[in-house]
Amino acid sequence: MKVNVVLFGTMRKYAKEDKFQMEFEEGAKLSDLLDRLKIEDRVYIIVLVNGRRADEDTVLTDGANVHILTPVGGG
Amino acid sequence: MGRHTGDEGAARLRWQSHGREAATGLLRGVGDSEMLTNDERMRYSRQLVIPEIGEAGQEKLRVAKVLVVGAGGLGSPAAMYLAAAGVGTLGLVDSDVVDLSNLQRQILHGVNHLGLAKVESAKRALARLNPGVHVVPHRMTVTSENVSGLIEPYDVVVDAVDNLETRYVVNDACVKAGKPLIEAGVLRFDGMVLTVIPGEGPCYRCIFPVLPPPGAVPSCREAGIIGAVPGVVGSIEALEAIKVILGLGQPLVGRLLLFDGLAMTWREVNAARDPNCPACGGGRG
Repeated sequence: MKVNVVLFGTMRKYAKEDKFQMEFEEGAKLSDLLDRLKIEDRVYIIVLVNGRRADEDTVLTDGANVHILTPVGGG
Repeated sequence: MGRHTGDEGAARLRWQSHGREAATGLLRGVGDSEMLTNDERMRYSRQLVIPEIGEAGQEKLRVAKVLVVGAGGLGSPAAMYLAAAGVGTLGLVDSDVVDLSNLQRQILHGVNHLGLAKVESAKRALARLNPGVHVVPHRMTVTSENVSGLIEPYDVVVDAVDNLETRYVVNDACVKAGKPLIEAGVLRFDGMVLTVIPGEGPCYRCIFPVLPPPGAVPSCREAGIIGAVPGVVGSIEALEAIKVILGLGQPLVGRLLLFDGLAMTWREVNAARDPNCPACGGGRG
């Protein structure tokens, strides 16, 4: 299955592009996606899967839209 | 202008949100409508001709009270466009003084105001732009203790602060008070905007539930900011506030808008309420 990934802000450093697709076996979890991107510091990142805040155990589904971001605090 | 006709008990303003009627219960409608002066007709002529605004909309703007929290990079364009549009009462909150390092992005301020309190500098700049606007300076640091009283007199709050901690304080207070909140943040070439209508969509804490500790997320001082980015994003905040006041269009309720100034792309993330949100309860009532 394929999932659509968008990296925003400081999370862009984990890939060459900020919008791309990733392919996984059925049953893959969000933790698998984060592992493959080598995102180790996960405490304060926010991952939205189809608009809902997700944790590492969230099971990915075909066509899911995954946004990985951190809060932006400047003003 | 000196003729604010706001009737605190006036009819509630309703607007279309995501295709359905939504009411804040907070915004006053047009009270005892007064005719615009000739000067005002000229000043606002380019927006009076917009069918969705007209004189009735201009009157709504005139009786509206908006609080802009932060008179810096985001607060500068937000306050300037709100004042220029004729928002009758504009509160400004900031505890800082104008510093030379601010001027690269904080276009309310100039070298002649270095060392002056930002709220006073802003008040003078806004008076030059539109003397008909009543500007209320609040030189203070926003805290969980004083925030409720601070936002209480206002209809809409624009969050233009430069730190994460205050965002959570303002979000939580607006949710508790049922105040519409226009939330935005910027860093480097990036910006994000979310309009929070309590009860209608997610609040800031629904998406970002936990305040990161100091140093966990970089600030503009650490990571940098190019001035045009808060210019773009602060202008969107002003437009969102105007839409909420006028009851027009589709505010960014449940839609987190992400701006990438380098790629020059806009992305919209549909964001849902968190049923376990400690601030708004995500619709549990």
